[in-house]
Amino acid sequence: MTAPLREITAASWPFDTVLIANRGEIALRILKTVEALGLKAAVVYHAIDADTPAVRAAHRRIEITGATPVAAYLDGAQIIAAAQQIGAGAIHPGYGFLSENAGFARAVAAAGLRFVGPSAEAIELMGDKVRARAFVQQHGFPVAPSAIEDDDPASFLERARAVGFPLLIKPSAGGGGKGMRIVRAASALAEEIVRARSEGQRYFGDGRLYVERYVENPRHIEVQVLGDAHGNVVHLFERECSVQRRFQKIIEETPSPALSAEERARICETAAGIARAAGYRNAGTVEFIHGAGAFYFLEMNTRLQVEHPVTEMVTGIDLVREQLRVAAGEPLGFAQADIVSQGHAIECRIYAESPARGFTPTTGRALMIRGGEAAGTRLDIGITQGQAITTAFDPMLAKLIVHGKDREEARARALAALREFVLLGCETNIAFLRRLIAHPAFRDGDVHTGFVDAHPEIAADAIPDSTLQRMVAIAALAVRPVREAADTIPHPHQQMGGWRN
Amino acid sequence: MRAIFSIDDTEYSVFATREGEAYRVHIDDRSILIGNDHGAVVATDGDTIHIWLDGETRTIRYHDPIAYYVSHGDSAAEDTILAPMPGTVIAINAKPGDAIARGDTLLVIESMKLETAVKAPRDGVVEAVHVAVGQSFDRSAPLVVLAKEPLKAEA
Repeated sequence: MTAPLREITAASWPFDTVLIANRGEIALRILKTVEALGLKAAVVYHAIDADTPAVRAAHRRIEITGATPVAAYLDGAQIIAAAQQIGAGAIHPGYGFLSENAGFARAVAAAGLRFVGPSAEAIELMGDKVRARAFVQQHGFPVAPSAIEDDDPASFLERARAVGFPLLIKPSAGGGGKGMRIVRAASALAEEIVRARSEGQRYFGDGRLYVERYVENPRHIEVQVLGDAHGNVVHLFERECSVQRRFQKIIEETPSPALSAEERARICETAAGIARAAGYRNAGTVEFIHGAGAFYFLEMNTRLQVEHPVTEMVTGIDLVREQLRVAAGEPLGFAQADIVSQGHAIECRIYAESPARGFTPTTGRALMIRGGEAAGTRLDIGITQGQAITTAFDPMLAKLIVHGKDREEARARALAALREFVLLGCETNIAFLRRLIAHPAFRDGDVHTGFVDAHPEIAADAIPDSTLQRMVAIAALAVRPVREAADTIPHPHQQMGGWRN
Repeated sequence: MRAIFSIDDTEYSVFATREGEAYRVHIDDRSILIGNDHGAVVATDGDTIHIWLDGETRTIRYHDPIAYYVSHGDSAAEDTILAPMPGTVIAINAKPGDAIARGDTLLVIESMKLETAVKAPRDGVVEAVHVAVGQSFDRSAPLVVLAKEPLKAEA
């Protein structure tokens, strides 16, 4: 299924060691591909991660320090120095941390190393939401009707009203949903602008705003793109990531159950067109809001995404391998027509959190981890048995990815894999994910970004009293005093049967 | 003697007897036969038992009988303010000996990038503060202890 590639032999790579500037599951996932290509993998790590699988598996490991563990992974100068110290020729930033930091990408290049990602200019363009949106619009691609305050502050209110309702007010400097307000009626607009400006000022020290048309119950659909340094850009189809909580994705799948073949071709072509217009190099993702028969550009993420495995499952293309080949200056080894999507893939993000307590993070120790080995199942996990789970980092522990010949088979495999997956010692969202995938609306593909909030019964962690009692009974027998007492109490059956221990 | 187990706030009074190769476990007023083929996965950590059964997971606490009956003799639990979620201490507004009123902010914690004020559940006097600014804690960690309420003199 993999498209024909001009293979690079280990001797012809322009670097022989790749430094992975990340942690957890993604560090291990990148490491596997680096090694499969005959290259050496080095990992930087904070002491708190010393016993994690990626650090243990690395050919070279370099400790980094910081005021907090997160600060260590954000310390670009220290990471570049580590790469130079061990002679790494390339740095893969993974996702999060420094992956979308243009200054870091520039510093890596200035140090004579290769940044496994796009150019600093592309990161800068797409990192500025207002600029990115204007760029996409100028090139004739669809963006939600909008009004940007900076264009002409005096007429902002008037232009905002002309966008139509409902609309969304966003801080220009914003991100992560902070300071966003939905306005449903023209009469409330002026007042909401005042409040949004005050929030933007408070959160980001910048009160500038823009408004855009709000799509009710929207779907989040994104497209994987890949470009090389020779001007070639392809797409690797879409992923639907509508099931979210607190603006974070929980379940991703491909193909999207919402798109017709015609819509799918259009949205994927649009994404590739945007990447082409930006002269985009390496792996990226163009995100769209989809609803009421239309789709609008939302933003572009200039890195490998958490949910990239579903794309790998249906296309058979290893995205990290392509990232490394592109970083090595190779042209893409395939054309658009060579990329075929087969079957259906679903990813479930396993988080250390309590769905029943408003998805608050949980802590503990991974006393037992078991599962993820069934046919058509891939487990990307960065923790190991015995490891402490703290709030030092994002609560994502693992990703369970399944593939099936169609959506129903993938869904059945996801349900089975979640049912069989055991993680003891820290509360997780595994049972919640199972209830979500079993829900009739999810089964019918009828989801939107507000789906989890609209169905609080999925988060409520209710199990029958009979199951709870059975759990207590089994747990009681694991306690020595209870078992010893049982073994010494004479019981009618024991006496009758002359039973001996 | 019955042992006490709990899941969150629900308590179960339990004893077991042998029944051939299996055990009969008596919980409150019913009993369940548990054989070796119970199908659960169990991991214990001191008095905490983590159990997986048919895709569901629970954390069950075993209460040592002596400690349990001693602690239920007074109202120690209500005098201790526990962390509602894991997080980090941002600010502390109370020190031992302070007289406080119900609703006073005792400390401010940060969790999930959100700040939350931890408030006094009743009027009283602070006996101990178990955390320092910058310190991280797990859910249900004791944060502040209030001095026991003196018994009100009969008028």
